[in-house]
Amino acid sequence: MPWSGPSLEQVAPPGDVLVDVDGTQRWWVKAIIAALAGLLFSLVLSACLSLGSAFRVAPLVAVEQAGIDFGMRAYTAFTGSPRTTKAIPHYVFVDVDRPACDAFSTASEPCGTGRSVPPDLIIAFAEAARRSGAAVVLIDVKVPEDVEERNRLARGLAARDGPWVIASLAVRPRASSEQLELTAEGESLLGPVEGGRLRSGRLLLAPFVTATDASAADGVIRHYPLLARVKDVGTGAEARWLPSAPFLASGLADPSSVDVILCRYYPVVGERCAAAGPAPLSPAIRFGEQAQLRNRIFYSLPGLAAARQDQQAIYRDRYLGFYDRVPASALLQGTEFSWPQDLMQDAVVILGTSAPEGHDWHVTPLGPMTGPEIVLNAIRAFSEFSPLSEPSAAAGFSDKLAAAWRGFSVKVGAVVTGTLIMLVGWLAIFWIGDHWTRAPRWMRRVACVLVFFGVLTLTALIELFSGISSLQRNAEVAEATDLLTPLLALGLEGFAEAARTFAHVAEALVAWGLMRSVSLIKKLRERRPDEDV
Amino acid sequence: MKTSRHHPAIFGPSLWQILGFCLAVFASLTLAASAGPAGAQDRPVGQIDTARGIDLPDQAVVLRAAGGTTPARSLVRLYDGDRIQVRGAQTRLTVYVAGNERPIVVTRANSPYLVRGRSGRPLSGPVTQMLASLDLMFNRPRMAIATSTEARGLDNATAASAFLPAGPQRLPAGTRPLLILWSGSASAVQIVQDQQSREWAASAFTSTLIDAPAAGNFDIVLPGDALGWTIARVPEEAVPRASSLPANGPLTFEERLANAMWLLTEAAPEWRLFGLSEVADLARTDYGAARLLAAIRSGEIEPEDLAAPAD
Repeated sequence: MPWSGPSLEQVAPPGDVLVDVDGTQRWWVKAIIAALAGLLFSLVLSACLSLGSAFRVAPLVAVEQAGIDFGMRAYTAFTGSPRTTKAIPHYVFVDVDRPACDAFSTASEPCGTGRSVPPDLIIAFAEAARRSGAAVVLIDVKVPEDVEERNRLARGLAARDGPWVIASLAVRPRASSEQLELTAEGESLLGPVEGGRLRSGRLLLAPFVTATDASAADGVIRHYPLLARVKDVGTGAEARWLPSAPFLASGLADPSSVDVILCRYYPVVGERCAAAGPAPLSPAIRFGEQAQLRNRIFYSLPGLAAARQDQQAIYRDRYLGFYDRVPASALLQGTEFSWPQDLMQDAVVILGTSAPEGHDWHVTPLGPMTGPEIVLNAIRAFSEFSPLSEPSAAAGFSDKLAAAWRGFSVKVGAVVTGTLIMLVGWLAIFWIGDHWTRAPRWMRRVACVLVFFGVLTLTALIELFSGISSLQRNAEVAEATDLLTPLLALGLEGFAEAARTFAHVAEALVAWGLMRSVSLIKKLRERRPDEDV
Repeated sequence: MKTSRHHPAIFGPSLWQILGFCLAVFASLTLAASAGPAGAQDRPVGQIDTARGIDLPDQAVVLRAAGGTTPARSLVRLYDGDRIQVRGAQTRLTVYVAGNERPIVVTRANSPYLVRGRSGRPLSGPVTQMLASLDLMFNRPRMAIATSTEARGLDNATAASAFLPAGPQRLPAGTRPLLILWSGSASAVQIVQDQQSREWAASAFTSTLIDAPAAGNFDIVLPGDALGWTIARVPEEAVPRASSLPANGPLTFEERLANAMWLLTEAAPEWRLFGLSEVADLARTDYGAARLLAAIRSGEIEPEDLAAPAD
């Protein structure tokens, strides 16, 4: 088809390439201006939110908190288990269900009235786990109060061979303002705490305690401490640093750090540690001794116990062999536990319960989750990722400014990506508006609206995926990533455009109505002299 | 095809290019969304969920694609290319294979069964995975959770708790929250006073806090009259105190808690409701009282556990 439009000289007179022949801006200039306006808007919004959250402005902190929670939800929804499970441990949650409990319960303490995991069940499980090839076994069950039961359980767990077993050190909180301070109860699984006995054979005692963020006031568990300061353990008056159960498990799952962790926190004179007393801090211990509470867990494993049946099927499809929830009754043959060797080989195994009477359900950014699932998330965060850093309330001005800059720089990546894609949309919209002259006006408008919302949705999706990928990368370098703000900025830009369009339409309607009224009045006036006649 | 400013096609090449770009980006996104779940070769693709009718080890085995044989039993992992061989006439294996909506039953009739993984299953393709991911992200399950760890009781039979025997109870004057405690099934709780009743739902829990009427005697019942208490008001001074506590004057927090424990263990049984409610009131601010309350509500302790040891 021969070119029948204006010549290049007509369209773009020398010296004024930005303006069309009719004096209006060219379509691509308008598109660039619209995209840059959107970028500016998004950057200002991101900067305000980053500064606000770093300086702990409560509403903005809440927005960023929601953004990080949203990011972890998106991560767990869109990513599955890693392609290979050979290099890193896999995770097994043995969930003590009612049939398994019934198999070990006694007439005096039937299941369903408080004791959901009988001590005999734990002993039988530990006996079987000794031959399982697991890397670490955690017993996330309250220690029995009866001395005889406790001694029996300690004897059953304290083996000389098999995997490391981590059981709960009975503690209660003292303070949790900056670091977690705990007081040990009088009796532990390994006897009176005055003796300070926290290790027997392969059995180690550690606190299974975390704290919720009081400033968030929503009761959601977002943090897990690496270390806790425990008072009244041992003979000294000084409080003693102990690793939290997930941090200890992540250390023991890595063969290269086992000796260092044990010598530092569980020294047994004459065994492996050269000198008496705790070993000095070693670089082999990951993250050093970060005692602050603000170690945000990177939740990467969904709550399997709370999932709907159809969701459980999807999770099973994605996580089979990497993260499994196995009902304890499925492992039982009579009153003996047994399972195929590869089920728990090299795995981090946790024994706990999702039964309501176990009182171990909590609120997390991913929704309701059992205590064992939270512990597994924390172990994975400490093993494969890092605790996500965030400025504490006591941080100085420069630290907060640096945190704001880090948050802003993460958001800028998503915002710029979004702007580039929106530019494509704006180009299409202004091209349709200026050049698609054969189509009726209403069709061009509908096409523009469709393109706008289509590109907006596409941009949101791309921002989401680039955010998830950034979250994964950031998890390794310890930075909390907020995925919501770029989407929010984009949504607000869309809202602004929609509002502008609505205003134009409203203006046009009002103008049309006025014109109609004026012409009607004119007509009436013109008719009146005739009527008079 | 050429386009002109005055005679453009309905969708000119520029628009097609834009749409093509959008489609390409969407396709790459869906592939990215499914990259994690799919394609792993060294991960199991299935599992034997249940194995029945196996008396001898050779009645059902898994022939590994990588070589070797594993006796079939529940929870045996299955990898792509494995074959399940069943010889027993009564043997029946229920097998889960990723990507299949329904479990597969393997018997001698369909043996050997070849395990095929996620590859080659259109239903578990990228678009399906992406839609499933969106559902997981936005359609999170909701469930009632007991954040203050209330306990559930036995499945049947509502019965009086050892801490709060049915029958007459005494309460000092004034409005206060009352802790009603029982064992057995969940129930609502009603207060009946002067032919009028109010009801509190205590679904799923065997204890609840209710507000006492400001004055006068009243009854507390579980519907169906399975369990009930008749409450008589007495003057504040009539509340008994343990001998070790000051006989008159206000009590400190610690003394109130000590007296509440004494009321629950050594005083007359009609003071149990007041004792329990004192513990519940103190539990709002006192850690020890909160632990005691949790232990009482969960049924972990009995009144005799609180009694002072005999000299």
